[in-house]
Amino acid sequence: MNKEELHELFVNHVDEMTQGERAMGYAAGEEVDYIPFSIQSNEEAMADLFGYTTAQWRNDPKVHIDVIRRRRDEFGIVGLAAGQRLRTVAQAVGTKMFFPEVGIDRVDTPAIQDFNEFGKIADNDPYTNPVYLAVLKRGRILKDEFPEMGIGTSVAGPFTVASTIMPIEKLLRGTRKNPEAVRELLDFAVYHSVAFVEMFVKEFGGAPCTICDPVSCADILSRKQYLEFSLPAQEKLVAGLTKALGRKPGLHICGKTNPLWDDMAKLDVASFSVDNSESLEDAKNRMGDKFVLVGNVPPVDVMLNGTIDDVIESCKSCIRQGAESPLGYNLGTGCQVPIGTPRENFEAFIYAARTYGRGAKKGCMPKGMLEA
Amino acid sequence: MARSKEALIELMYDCVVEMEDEDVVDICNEYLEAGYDAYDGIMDGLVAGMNKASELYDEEEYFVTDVLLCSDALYAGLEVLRPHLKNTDAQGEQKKVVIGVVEGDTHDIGKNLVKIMLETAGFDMYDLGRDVPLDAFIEKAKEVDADIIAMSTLMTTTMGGMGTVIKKLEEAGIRDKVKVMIGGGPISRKFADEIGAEGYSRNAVEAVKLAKQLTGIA
Repeated sequence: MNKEELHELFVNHVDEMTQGERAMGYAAGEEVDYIPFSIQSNEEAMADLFGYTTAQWRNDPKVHIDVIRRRRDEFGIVGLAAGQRLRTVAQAVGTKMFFPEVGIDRVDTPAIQDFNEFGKIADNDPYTNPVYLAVLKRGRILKDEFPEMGIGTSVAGPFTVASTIMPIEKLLRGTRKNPEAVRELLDFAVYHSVAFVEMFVKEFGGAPCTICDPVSCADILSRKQYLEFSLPAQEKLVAGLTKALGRKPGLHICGKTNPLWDDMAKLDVASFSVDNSESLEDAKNRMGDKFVLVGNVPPVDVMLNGTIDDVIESCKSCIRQGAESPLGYNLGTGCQVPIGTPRENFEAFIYAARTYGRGAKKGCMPKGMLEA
Repeated sequence: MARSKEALIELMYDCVVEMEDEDVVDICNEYLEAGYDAYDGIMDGLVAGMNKASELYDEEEYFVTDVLLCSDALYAGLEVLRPHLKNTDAQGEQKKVVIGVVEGDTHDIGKNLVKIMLETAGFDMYDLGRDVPLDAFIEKAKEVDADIIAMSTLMTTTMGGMGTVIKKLEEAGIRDKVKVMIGGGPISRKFADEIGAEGYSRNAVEAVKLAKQLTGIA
């Protein structure tokens, strides 16, 4: 399909349900117009598409508002976010960050260089922390502008937070040489993330929350390390968030997670977003009765660099693998959609959800796939 | 009774594989005091131990943390033995690799693993660190007459820098003198082909095989 044909089909489509109706209906086991979808963390890529730099989106609420408005008007995607980014806790407790004009923020200098410096950050009060207050203030500006839209939040997983507070190689060595200090740092991460979400709930009420925990994957941790350190901290985080939000959070871990799936099944989360480095079909077979699954169109090779047909084929393949997952499945990207993703690939993704995900019902292959 | 050369070499090997970064120092000192040859201790004890650790990593018996701790023991032992190498120990010309994480990215754990494993495999490593200005790769490659430039990144926004380095190598007139190998989360074989990099590897163990192929030693 070429860009013009796709665009024509895309703009002439009329949704039968709102995004909220679709999500609620699907969760309740009803047949919906098409499968719910999620293009992960797309605001930076959308800002780029609308001609803004990442820094403009980050620093100027008016730009942020325009991105949300145009995303709604041009792609039909609604929803607001006021959440932690992967390095927000680190920034809040003193990690020096670098925020590029275009691109994702990165750690310049970690807050502490070793465990013996933990005292430097231990007393940091999350409830008065200006970094968290600024995130919530931005959320308030967005919510006042778009009162009809829901607002969600996000936190980073404990091991991920710890790896942005101190150098990761020291953290990993610490799992052998100083396990108690590692646990102390993980507890600190949990405390800050739960506190942040409590502040969010006070401002906006209970809402969907996603935990992103890219460092807690089998590319970096052994299963033993996951069991000894990351999983207990994730369990504490999930319990704290569920209590604060009045609902279970979702979880995304980047990279290889397959060796950890049987252990992860202990986590009481609502959904698991599967990275594209794993098989969605395997995830369905191993975890489909535990969580709603989301995924896993490759963000770089397909969304950023693929053709329109690549995107459509990848979406079809994901729906084929995931749709019959017993607790439900949302079409999603395998990780954050990259800055530079072309407009037509967003349109192709949504077109595929509407077309091949048509007539979706939890646990069933959508009618759109059966008729294709 | 003093321990034999072979027994001490075996202990060095075990110390690296078992991640004993303190014991290895005592063993290396004992080895030197007994008058044994530093070069043999390095190659047959420490480096052989690190090669075993790489093998175990490849077999998913060892993980990132294990490799880091083995390398701590390796480097602790090298610090003791290296000053005692004789000039004649240089084993021909070592292939030179300039390595770094490209500008705009600070994720360097993968790069560090590749560096450790290439160093163990006998490559002469020039580590530029992370968030490396693109010109620095060219300058260092020229300065040391590098055989390979190895670059990594985890970010999509910085991948393009790798292609820029290749263009800069052409402009500097040294493209045919140096091979380029790349890796990192968003990188693929296809991307390597597109930017004209000779090599792509998915992990640190493959990177060693690739570097050997590219330099004609395997």
